Amino acid sequence: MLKATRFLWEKTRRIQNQFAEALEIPQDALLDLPRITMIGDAQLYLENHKGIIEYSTEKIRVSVLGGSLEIIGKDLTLKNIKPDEIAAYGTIKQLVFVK
Amino acid sequence: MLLARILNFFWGFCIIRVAGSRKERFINLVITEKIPLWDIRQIDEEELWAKVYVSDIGKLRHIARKSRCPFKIIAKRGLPFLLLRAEKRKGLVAGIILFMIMLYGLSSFVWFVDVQSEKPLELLTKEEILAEAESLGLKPGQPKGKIRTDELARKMAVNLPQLTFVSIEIQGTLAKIEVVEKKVVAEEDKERPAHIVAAKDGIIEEILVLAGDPRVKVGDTVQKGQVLISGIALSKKIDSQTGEPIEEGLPKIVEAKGIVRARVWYEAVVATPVIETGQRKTGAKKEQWSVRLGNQKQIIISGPRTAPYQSYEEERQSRTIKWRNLNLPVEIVHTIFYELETYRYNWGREGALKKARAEAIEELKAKMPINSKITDSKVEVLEESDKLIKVRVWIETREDIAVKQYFQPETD
Repeated sequence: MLKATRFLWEKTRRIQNQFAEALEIPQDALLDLPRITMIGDAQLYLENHKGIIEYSTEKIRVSVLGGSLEIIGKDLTLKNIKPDEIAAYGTIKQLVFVK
Repeated sequence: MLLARILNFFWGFCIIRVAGSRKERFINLVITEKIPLWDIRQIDEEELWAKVYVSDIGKLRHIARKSRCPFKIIAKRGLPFLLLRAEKRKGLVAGIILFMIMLYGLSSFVWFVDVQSEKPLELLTKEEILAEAESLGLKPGQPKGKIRTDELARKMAVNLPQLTFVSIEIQGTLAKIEVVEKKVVAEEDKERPAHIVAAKDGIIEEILVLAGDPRVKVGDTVQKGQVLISGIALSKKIDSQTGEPIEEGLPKIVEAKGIVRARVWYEAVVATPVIETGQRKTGAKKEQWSVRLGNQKQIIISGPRTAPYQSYEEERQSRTIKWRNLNLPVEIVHTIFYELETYRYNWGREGALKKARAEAIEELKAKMPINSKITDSKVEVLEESDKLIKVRVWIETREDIAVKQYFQPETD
């Protein structure tokens, strides 16, 4: 059952992907993908997030479409949180997508 | 970002401390409830600090219960809290308000009245103008709103006929009265008894009498101060028998007028070296910047430490650093060293004479009226050696030597 839903979900995504490519629409707009903007290693803005999983000064884990995003660094603070956007300040060392 | 901070200040916010192991859930719940939460910072394992608006504290209590993360308000910031605190210190607030009211109130009065004039006042004194202004109602302590500057200026101009222009301008608490006095009626328009006398020694070349009685003829030698045209004119009548003029009646006292041109001499003794030696700038220069602290230490910033030439001329400019009225004991000194060289120049006899004449004329020109013409010049050698030549230079000019000398007529 779980396998079937997953298969369906992935199929719809593929179709959506093809649509986006054909119509030249930015993928984040259509597919709800996260958009990440970084300013050096000091500031990170993440749009289209699905909630925070974990927060500490060394690691922020944010749920995004199709997995989670790990921000690893030092002295991380959540400068601003809105329903669709997160601003993280500090010294960012790594950015990892976890499926 | 700054704007947001200013808004936050006016709105008022709290810093809260959230404890518990499920603080991520707390944050997520806050997000879904669309409650603004910012500057989230982890302090240690099970504790984080965040900022939140005062108005949202009530909603947070509900979330805290749901996520089992109790929170505590640790600080309150912003204007609403300041106002709350001010309520407890009523005296201070009252003082501030009173101060502002007084400042505003006092600045709506005129406290100073000043008179200004482009030229120095001659017909009136400052006090007279101020007294007139005061009698019209412009004086220290008067509310600004009461003063109609245009009307007042017009009235002042009428009341003080010596003034052609009056303008009143209020600058802050200062009322500035700007005045222009009427031109002083030239005294020359009125006839005043006067002689025309010689300004210098000379020989009369030409005499033109407009008013008065001439006392000299063309060709006369006159001395400085001698009356040329007298202001005491005797009415003359030519005797029909002898053809001689006869003076008759009482003398008429007039202001003598006329032009008297005369030959005038000037002389000067000038000594010039035939062989000139001296020092002159070579054109090479070095600049030095230094800072002097107080009166003692001089710190050289750029340029040579000591004079870079054997013979030199120094030009020094120092500037003190000023801040408002404060004179700092720091001086910036700019020194320019000009290199000098000794030179020797042989003018020759003819050259020296020429130079002496030019120098003498230059010197004498200061004594001559501007429009005088040099008609003749003579150079006489007084002393001569290999090195030095000493000459006397004569210059002859033609110029107007008439000068008015007013006198008091004797009253009989």
